[in-house]
Amino acid sequence: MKSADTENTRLLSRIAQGDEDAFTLFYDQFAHGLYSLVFRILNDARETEDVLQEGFTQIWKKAATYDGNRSSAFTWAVMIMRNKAIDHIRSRQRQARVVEEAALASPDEPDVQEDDGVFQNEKKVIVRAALEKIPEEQRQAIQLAFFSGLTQMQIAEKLGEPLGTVKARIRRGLLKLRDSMNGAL
Amino acid sequence: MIDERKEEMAALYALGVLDPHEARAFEEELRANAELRQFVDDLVRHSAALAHAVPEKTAPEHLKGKVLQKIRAGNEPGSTVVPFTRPARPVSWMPWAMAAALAVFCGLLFSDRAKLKSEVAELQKQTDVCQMQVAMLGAMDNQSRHGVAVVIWDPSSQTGVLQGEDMPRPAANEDYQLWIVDSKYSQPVNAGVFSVDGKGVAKAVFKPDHPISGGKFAVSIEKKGGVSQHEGPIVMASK
Repeated sequence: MKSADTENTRLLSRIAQGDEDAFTLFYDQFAHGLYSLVFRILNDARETEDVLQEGFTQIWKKAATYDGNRSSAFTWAVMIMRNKAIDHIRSRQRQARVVEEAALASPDEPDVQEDDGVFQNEKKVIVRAALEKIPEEQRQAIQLAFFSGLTQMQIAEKLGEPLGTVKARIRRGLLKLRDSMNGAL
Repeated sequence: MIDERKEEMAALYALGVLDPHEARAFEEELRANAELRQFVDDLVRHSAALAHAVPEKTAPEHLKGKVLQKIRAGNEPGSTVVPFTRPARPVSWMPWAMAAALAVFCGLLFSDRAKLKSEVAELQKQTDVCQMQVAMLGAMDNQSRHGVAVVIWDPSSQTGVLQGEDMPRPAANEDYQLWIVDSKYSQPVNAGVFSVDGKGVAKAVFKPDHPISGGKFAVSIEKKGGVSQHEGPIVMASK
């Protein structure tokens, strides 16, 4: 486990004990990155704030369930926020509009305002470089899957491709992404 | 050995795009296949890394205050599970004494479930005097792969203790979630999520979302962080 992961695991352990200072440190470290992620999914500042509040409240309450042997604190927090954002899309029936926006948005469009320490520039470079190595159709399928909340069938319909093709693209693309980033995260 | 089909299912599962019935079927595979679970964890980790690739935004300054205000209020509906060693609010000594006794029972007797059952029944008789309920939760399919758990429920404080053993860990993007089936509610009442350590042991203190007058206990596997209404498969339940 890397030192940052170890430190974040300790923070979550303290949060589980009700340590508000630890929670504040955790918030400071992850808030901007998580806000960026949720905004990328919802494309709505007010809803993004709602999701962040729900997500951080969940982190506060569920810190005791975090398992450092299974995932990093970063992965854990990202998946909580991402799931909440997707739930938000589905519950508000906003899917069609958001999908259109997601498909149009480029993942690497520059809008850099600051670096928050965890979502480091180095990692951004690694992930973006890894994404660029993936063929366009695979990258598109992965991004629709991760950011839009569509099911595989809906992705196939959206892309106008057979379901089997979409599944294969997601598998190949995600494995390539993993191989390109391997050891760098 | 992870073949191409499993790789494909794992990728779709990691990205959360499987249909619910497919996801449940795949979760069954995951529970029986440690190598596949590890593979899925790895894919989840790399999927989460996509968060690094989004355009950066700055969270509004006022948001931090709102979040802190919300956690201080502590009245958010949903999860109520807290670490085993830290109850959500002061409770009487009796549940904790019983929980401690139960932990001993569990430690000694999980290898002999028939005996455990009789001991739980005996414990139930003893706890009648303090109005507490003891329930043993077994696997829904009569197989041992989901382990066994015991719940002690104190109706007066509306607080309970769960201890489980021999429980397989759920996938990285899943949690076990405890429910109480009370006939006065149309849906099972959420009692929060809980984790399982590397030895398959689960310990949690819980307080359900709504007042409970009695009922059965059940454990399902849900997506990470839990859900407000039961969606995933029920893997354990009390009789």
